Amino acid sequence: MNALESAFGKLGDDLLDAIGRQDWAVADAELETLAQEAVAATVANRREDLAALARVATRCHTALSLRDDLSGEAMHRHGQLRALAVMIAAARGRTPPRAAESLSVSGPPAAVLSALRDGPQTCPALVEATGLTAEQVGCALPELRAAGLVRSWPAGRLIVNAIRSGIPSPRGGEGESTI
Amino acid sequence: MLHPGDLFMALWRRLLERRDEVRTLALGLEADHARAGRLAGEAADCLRRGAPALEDWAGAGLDRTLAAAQAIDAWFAPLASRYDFRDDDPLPGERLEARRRLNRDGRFNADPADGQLILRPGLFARAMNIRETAPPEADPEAFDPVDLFASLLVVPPALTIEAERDGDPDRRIAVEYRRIAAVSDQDPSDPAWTPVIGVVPLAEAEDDLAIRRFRRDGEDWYDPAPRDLGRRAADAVAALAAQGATFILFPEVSAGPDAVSAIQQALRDQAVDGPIRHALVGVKEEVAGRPRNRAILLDRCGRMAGSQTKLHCWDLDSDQCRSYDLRDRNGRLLGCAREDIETGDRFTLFDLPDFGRLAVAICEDLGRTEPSAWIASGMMVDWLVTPVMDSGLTTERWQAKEGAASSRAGSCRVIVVNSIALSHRFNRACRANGEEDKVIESCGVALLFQPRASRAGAPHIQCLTLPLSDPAPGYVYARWTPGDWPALPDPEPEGPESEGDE
Repeated sequence: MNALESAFGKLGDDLLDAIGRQDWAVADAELETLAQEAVAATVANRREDLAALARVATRCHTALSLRDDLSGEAMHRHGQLRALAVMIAAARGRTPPRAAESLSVSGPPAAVLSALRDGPQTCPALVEATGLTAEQVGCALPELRAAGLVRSWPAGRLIVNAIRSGIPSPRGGEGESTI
Repeated sequence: MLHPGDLFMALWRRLLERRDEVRTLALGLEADHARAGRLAGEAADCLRRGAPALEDWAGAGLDRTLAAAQAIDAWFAPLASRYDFRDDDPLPGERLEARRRLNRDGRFNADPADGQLILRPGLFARAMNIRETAPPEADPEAFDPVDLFASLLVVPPALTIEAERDGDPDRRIAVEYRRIAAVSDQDPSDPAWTPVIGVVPLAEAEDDLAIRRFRRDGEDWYDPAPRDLGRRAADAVAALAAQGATFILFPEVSAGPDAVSAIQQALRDQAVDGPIRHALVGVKEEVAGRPRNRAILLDRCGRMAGSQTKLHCWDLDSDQCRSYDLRDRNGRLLGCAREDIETGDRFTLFDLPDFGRLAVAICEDLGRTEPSAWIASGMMVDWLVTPVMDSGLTTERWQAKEGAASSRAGSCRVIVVNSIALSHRFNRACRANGEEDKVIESCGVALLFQPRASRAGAPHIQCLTLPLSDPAPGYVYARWTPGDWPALPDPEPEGPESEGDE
């Protein structure tokens, strides 16, 4: 456990203590801090910190849900914890693709882009053209699509991929527009 | 305003009505990527102007109908992706409405009579589309219209399955996709997520799971009766929590009411600081005076989150009666024995934020054609869990074959869990028949299958065992790290595009 995770844990403990002694001003302040940390970690895409925040929010939510005698005020904070936990989970369930410059330079995504400069291809054809494994190509394509570097269309049950027009090529000029 | 989800349902119905023509059309498009691209481009342009514009365009020919449905499928792709899309976002209001419908109603379509339009990929498949790395068979007979869509899947309101007993007519069961809304600190869509699976056989000695026999209507019946092993169950839950288990499983009909209560309390005791997020417990229950064989799903606090009732009976033939040493009151081996349960009439797909998409097929339900074949063809679940009551699991017996087939076809992880009690009966029968070589010493209580990631890959399997003579500590667990498990050979011939040919 790193220092920040320990600090998040203490924040959760103090929040539960404040709710337990019905100190709503402190409880709301701790919740506000938790929300601010969650937004900061989301914006910076700090995955480990988001995971630690998810544990804190769900732990506090679970602890309150097991108490039988929650007052209306305590239930109000319980609901806020749920909303925070849902937001943190939403942030963890998605990730920004890497920048186009990074994807185009090396690794399987760059090899896929390079192969697509010869024309549109399906995943199995890309496997053959690049020498990569099917898993490597299969993992590269969704990120390339999300980054806007590759566009795809269905051909029956197959999926065809092409370089998106207007994408600068590392070899100079622009990628092909195939349709 | 017509929503893309509702237009998709109308187009889907049209495609199903003309299935043979759609197959011919699709095979043609698979050979003509440029034509497919032109149709896709036109359909996407229409959808940008709204679903009504696409509906008008789609009416003039089957190729447009298919292209329109596929354009809607592509429009839903960002919701099925782990990556944020940097693309423009046509119809943002409709996108919001789609999210609202899924979270609120568990479907993208408005009319529940049509079933549930949901995302096809479970949480695991959102970073890589297995349909791309293992594309559908070229064989026209293998054509399934479901495979025309990567993002969307229609869960029908009902499914035809075999009769609960041989000789009876087929029957219809309700099918339901159920999103469980809960706070979650797991991230199953992260490819690096490695949950720890714990299995508690619970019934260890032969009389921990007595098999009651009786005659009714001129036939022999059997009725498993688990001993109430609440203390053992609670200790195992606590021990697995200490080992970091994420999901714990108890086999078919292993827990009576006291054991269930003890498991619930033990889960509650670890709920705040412990790791267990869900438990699946095989129980025997009386509902309206009739026995039911069910698996109940509990959350981290031990609260009931759902259940699945067994859909088919497992009637034993004479060989099976001999294997399990089932005799009548006069000591004669039974020629057959019927399972005395009321079968279920509903099959549920659970979507759990802490675990992914889960289907439960209790014992015989895994071996029957449906709903297993439907699950596999849709490639829709992350986990298929099968609690069984049988002699020790091995990597060769029927559960391994069925599990491997489901994992291979459905691209889902499969877990089979078993108790120990019946292996004592099996060993007694082996010894009586002089088959010492078949005697079980190390009893398989869990099989874990990791699906292959491409057509050229192989599924991986892990078999977890406990010694039959002394099954301490009474539980097994494994982190889901299939890279460390043995590979299962692929029985299918490799295609020309496989990596192995390069």
